Amino acid sequence: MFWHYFLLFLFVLCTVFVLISENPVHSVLFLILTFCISAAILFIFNVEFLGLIFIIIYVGAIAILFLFVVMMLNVKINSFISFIKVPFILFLSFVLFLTLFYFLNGLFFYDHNVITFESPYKIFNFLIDNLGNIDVLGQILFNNFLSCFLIAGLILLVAMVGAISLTLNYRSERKNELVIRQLSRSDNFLSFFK
Amino acid sequence: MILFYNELTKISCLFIFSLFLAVIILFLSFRLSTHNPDTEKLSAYECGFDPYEDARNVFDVRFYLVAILFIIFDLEAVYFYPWCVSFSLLNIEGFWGIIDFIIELIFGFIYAWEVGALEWE
Repeated sequence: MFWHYFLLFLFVLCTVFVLISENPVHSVLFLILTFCISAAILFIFNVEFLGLIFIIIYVGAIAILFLFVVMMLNVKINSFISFIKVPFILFLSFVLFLTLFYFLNGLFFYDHNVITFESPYKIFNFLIDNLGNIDVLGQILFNNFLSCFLIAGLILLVAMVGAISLTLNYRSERKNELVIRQLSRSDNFLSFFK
Repeated sequence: MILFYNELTKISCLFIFSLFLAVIILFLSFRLSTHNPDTEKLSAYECGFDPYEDARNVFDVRFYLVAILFIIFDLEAVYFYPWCVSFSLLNIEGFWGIIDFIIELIFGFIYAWEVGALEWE
């Protein structure tokens, strides 16, 4: 049970470092660490699919978007920390720690007999309940809620079209290289230097 | 679930071992090496003079577009994962549903290709 508190403490510590670190790139890196720790907490709760999504989507993709935002906004160092005071941040993090502590404490010890497998009777419980989170999600999503899945695909398609049409400026003629001409060039270019 | 816990215990042992190993290596390399800090050593190594401007440049929004397209395809890959795990327990509708999902994905990809969202001028 020690590791739960260790992860919780580390989570709040990384959140504090996201807020009080002066370099915005460092705070993005601490944000990635926060996502990883929350994925570990979700793994402890047997929510493997959400933990994997946290690692794949948030760490793999959203963190890159945050890095792009940091690069694009061109935030100077010390511009943010000056008007938000550090004791205020520490107070907020202490409140966050207390709420997370009381909230997760009940969750951690809700299935206390199941989580600590000490007697063979409890191992028998595990053997009965051997269906994982991902199995359950796959069977229910693709057997019962297939139409919702297809609507999700349409929503992703709309998101892709919307992102392209927002950022791309359409132009009638675009200067592209002709791939065939590029590939069919002989290497006279190199023989020029010889 | 017992299988999962066994695997999780091994992976967490590996994580803790790597954490302690990284801390030990960092501490030893910080502790055993000699430190002679100097103003010339601590200044920026950039061709002899101080840099004029910040290292971060404002760049094109098209990088952002590539990242957003990456996120969308990543989310679609996330949907494939529970399908692959529970493939043997699905109906025939589940199979054709994922085929339809792939076709929607291919439509989006063809649109991005034809409009030229992935091309650089």
